[in-house]
Amino acid sequence: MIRFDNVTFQYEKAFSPALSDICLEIRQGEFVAIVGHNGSGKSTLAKHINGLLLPVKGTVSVCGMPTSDEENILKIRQKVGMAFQNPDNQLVTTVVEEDVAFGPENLGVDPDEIRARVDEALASVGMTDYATFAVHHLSGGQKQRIAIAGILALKPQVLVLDEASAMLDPSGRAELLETIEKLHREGMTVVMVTQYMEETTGCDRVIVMKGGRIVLEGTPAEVFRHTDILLDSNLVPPETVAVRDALKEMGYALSDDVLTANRLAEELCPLL
Amino acid sequence: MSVVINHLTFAYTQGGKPLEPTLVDLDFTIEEGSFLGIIGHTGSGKSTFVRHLNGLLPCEKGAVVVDGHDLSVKAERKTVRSLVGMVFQYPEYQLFADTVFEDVAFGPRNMKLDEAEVKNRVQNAMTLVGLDPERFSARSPFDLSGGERRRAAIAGVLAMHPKYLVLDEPMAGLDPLGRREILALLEKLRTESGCTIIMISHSMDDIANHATKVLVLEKGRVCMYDTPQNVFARAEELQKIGLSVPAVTKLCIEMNRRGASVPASICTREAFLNWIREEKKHA
Repeated sequence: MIRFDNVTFQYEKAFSPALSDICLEIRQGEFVAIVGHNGSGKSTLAKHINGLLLPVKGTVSVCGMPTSDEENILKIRQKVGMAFQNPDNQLVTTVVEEDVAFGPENLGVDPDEIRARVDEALASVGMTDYATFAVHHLSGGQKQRIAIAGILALKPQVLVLDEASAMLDPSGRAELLETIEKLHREGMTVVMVTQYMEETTGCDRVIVMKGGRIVLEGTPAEVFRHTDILLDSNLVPPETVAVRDALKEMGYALSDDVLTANRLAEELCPLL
Repeated sequence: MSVVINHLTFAYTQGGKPLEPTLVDLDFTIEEGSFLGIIGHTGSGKSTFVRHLNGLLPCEKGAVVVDGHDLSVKAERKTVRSLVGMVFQYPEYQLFADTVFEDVAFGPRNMKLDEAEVKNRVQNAMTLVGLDPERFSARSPFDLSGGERRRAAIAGVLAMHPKYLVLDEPMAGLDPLGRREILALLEKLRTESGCTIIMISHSMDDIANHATKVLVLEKGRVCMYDTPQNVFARAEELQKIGLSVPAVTKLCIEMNRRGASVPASICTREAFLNWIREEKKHA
């Protein structure tokens, strides 16, 4: 669905490339998390998926269409929706349903169809009851869900989230993650850039970046087996995984796919 | 010496009329040398509260008294501001000077210290936050990485030698290593220079591991004010007001649901592993 072939990117005036020789394939329906330290290139990578940034070397293609070909950009952006960090920068109108309708209206979608899409999008993110609310009365987590509803109304096939939970409080983060996981279960391809390692435990694949390169890649269970590489990449495994590893060192036989409190309790209790 | 919060109530105004109070009858004492963690849902009054600690917002009802200086007395405010350092959210947005040195020197110069002392303080503060003065003094703050910029901003506050350091979500937006560096710095300040730390944070793990006292605010009122062990033992109440609990507390709840009897006060990895060792001994 999305392919990076030897992609290198350098910002103007930068001393070193932000991305170096990235090769990556994301399959349809996959839920991929991209983690990395500040400045590791994870957001730069995400911005390549819908052609917000174009590679200096190599190619990025979406459904076989290279982003470097200007004629593809509009089609690609209809397939790939993107949500960003600051909820306040992504909402354009004052009323929730108007904001969700903004995208399809701009595309000249038929009014009845717009109504149906808005209702469906709001239902998907669990915000139906807020359709006529003023946007500025919503919490950060609710605003992010509206921003995502606005993207869903464009019927994308891929949802890219660039640290969309970074400015939210824990309950806002939890509700956003729940929404994303639900969309993924319903078939959406999701690429989630995040700073919070514990948000990645439910993903299909975790990609760890350092200095513009991919240094580790695999299922969450595989990735969190390599604490050394994570620490070397300025990252820290989720606290639950750190507890698991300490228990393993004490001789408790716990499996690698134990990543959550629930699973850890399940395996640990019979051993005590 | 301490910060005494005495029946503090505060309401913002709109069009001259007071709104619903944001803070209601806060009444407690922050002990010198402690590490106070402040938690609460968005809109619970956390940021409004800390803005009272150096008089950025007026004490209309009740009082805030820092080391015996009452903030409601105008003449005392200057003294209090020299005692209480304030690090706001995303403090790096406030960097403005051409070089890191000039930026960090801004506060001490305002204190009318002589240039030798200014230089001394700037270099110490930069060293403390892990920015080598030789390498970083002449650089533009805008050329630094996110984590370095954050630390440069904090150095500017530390150079004023505050006795009480107030931080509003100092780790927001930093990567895990950046977060660790800030926490290590705060621990160092507290243990080595006896600086009192007052920190708002959404990270329950960080609060469990570093705070000596936790203040839980809910709708502008004190919901709990206790040790982290006692606060996180009340996990159900915290979850009811939309707050999360440390990862270890979550684990203990899941274990107890399965018939284990982990004490509710265990909220850090260290405490949990100690408990496991004790259990093993008795098994």
